[in-house]
Amino acid sequence: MSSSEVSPVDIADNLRPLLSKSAHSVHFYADDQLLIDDLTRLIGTALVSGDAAIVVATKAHREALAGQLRARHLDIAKAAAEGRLISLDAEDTLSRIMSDRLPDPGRFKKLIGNAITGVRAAMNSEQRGVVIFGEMVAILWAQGKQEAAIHLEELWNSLAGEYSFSLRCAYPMNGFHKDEHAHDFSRICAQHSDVLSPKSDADGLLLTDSEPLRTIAKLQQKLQVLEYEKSLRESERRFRLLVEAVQDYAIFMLDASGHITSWNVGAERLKGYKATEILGQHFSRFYPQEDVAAAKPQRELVIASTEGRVEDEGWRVRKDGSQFWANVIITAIKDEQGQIIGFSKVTRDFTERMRAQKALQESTLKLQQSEKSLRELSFHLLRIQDEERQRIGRDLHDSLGQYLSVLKMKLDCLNSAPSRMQAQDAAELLQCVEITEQAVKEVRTISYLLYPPMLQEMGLKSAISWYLDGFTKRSGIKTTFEVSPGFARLASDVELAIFRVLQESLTNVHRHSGSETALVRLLLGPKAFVLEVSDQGKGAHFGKMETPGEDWMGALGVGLRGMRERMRQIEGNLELRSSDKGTTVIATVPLEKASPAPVAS
Amino acid sequence: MEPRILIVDDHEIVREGIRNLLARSGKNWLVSGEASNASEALLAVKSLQPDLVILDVTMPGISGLEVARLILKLQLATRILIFTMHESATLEAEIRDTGAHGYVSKSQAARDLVLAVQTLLSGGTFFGGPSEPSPNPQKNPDNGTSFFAPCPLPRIRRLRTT
Repeated sequence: MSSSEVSPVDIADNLRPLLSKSAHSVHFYADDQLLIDDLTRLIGTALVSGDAAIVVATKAHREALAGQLRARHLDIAKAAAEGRLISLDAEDTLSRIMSDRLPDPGRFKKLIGNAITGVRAAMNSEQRGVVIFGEMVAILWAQGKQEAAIHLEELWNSLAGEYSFSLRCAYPMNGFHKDEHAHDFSRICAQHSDVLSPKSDADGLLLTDSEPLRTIAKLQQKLQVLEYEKSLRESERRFRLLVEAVQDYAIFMLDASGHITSWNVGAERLKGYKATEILGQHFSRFYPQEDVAAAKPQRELVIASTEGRVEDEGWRVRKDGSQFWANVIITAIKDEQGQIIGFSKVTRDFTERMRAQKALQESTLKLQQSEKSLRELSFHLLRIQDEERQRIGRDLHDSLGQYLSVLKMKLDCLNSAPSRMQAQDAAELLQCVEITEQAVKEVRTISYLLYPPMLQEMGLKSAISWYLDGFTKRSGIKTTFEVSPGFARLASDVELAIFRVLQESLTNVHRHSGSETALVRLLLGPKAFVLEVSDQGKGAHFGKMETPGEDWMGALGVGLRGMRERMRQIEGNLELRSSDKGTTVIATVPLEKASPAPVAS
Repeated sequence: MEPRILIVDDHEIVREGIRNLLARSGKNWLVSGEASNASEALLAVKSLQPDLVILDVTMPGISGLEVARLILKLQLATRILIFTMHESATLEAEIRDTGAHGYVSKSQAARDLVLAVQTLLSGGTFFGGPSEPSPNPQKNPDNGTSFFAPCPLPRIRRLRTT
């Protein structure tokens, strides 16, 4: 063997004095890698020097350790086969020894004691030692079972009285970052003969003088707490910078009485005050005078205090006195005891939004108004149209019609005495009679179409019947008219509207349906009165029906839209059902609207 | 005593036409009065108690059909002949419904009026032609221009209440 080469055994021998046989050391490790390095050194040294080793570790640590030992050419399979190495799963072992919340001394002693006896038996020399690594305590600690961890440490110590072994415990350092851990940390340290530095990567030197080491560990632990606090402060600082940098929202804090304690860029931009001008002022200065007089700022703080937050929209005042429409959310901030220590206030400028909404409302209102006036106009136009038609129809019928009738009467009289005139004159006279007769019929038809004859005098039932009579003559479409018994007069505007719907429906039947028949029904229900006009045609093309008819017969119709408008005006409803078997127009009027007004006697 | 006739129409020219027709007939009839609206007509009927009233349908205010009903309520012997420009099967039904005794279209006045008056005064009725008892039941068969044009008529039927 060359002097430049150092065998593992030599190294182990060099290190051995550092491992007291009865040592119970603890390693607060900063990260897993440091632990594994330390553990590799500990167990590797033991195995190389012919000592036995028991590892009670987590699955991850056991696997990492095995990998490291193999990398250093240690035949751990052989050591295990010889019985010199026992590797136990920490969680599994822990579950075997735990009883309720604390480890059971009997089970612990039996399980670990047997392991120690086992590895000892595998060694040929009483001089060889047993090295144990355990982190069941760390598991208990991580689970928050501090008492169980300390109790387990005590059990290890009492086991050391019966068996000879050297024990290394390990805790992750980050389990001790809080102040309240300081006491338990000291108690754990007190259970051990040695405490390894968290940063101890170096030389595997184990300082046997434990008191300074404990101090170092405590200081390092304190450092860790400080670092934690520092990072917390850093994150708070970043958050504060973020808030301060927000431009579109005024975000600021109030103390419990409503005085401003913080101010961001957004607040300066929105309200016009610089932080130096506004800090310490009461937030009520953002409210218009009338709100201040009505104690609105105070009221909002009270609501935020009792309900946690309050949201409000309203006018707020800038530094220059101008006002803006603000959305404000005030949230109460409480300390750990639930005492209100202040409020956060987030304000947004909703002026544009409010104006847009207002403009929208105004234009909606205008639209509604123009719709209303349009309806009124259409109502007016329909009424004027009806009145005009009625007047022209009556004039034609009552004036021109009468003259023509009398003219015919007189011509007939002349004609009845043909002997007095020549044959040619008699023929001319006969033609005059026929022409006059035709004129009477034309006048009658036009006047009837302009205004239903006798609608006012005799009512809907008679007028419809009368109209159907003429309709059939003109169109050749056979009509059937059905009336509910007890059907009486309706209000005059309802009768006219219904009559016009009938007229238009029949015009559509004539022009579009191709039907040879039509059924008209006047039905009296318990709550409504219904007109039904159905044909057996090819089904309606509603688009065609939208526009009023254009031929002279249809010119008096008002189209589907007109029918709807007429029904709407009398608070009725118009429904169309159409299939390839025909079309039905259903006009419904509530009875309370259809009943005639009592006639003054 | 000659039969007395009351003429009711809101047009003077129509009343005059009727008077002429009746005069030309050579019958022994007396036009005992004229009225141009419903209230005048009722007053005249009550005071004159004519044998027959020739009554227009379309008049301002109350229609002739309503006047017919009111006259019939008086329970006089007065016969009522409706004389109108309207032509419709429905109208015939309406007229029958009032209880009036006959109906003549103005455009067929020269042909029908005298016959209708004569029929009614004899106790018959006249709806498109004379009915029993009638002195002249013969209706002119080749007159296709009778006011009932040959066409399908609307059928009115009653519905059951639901």
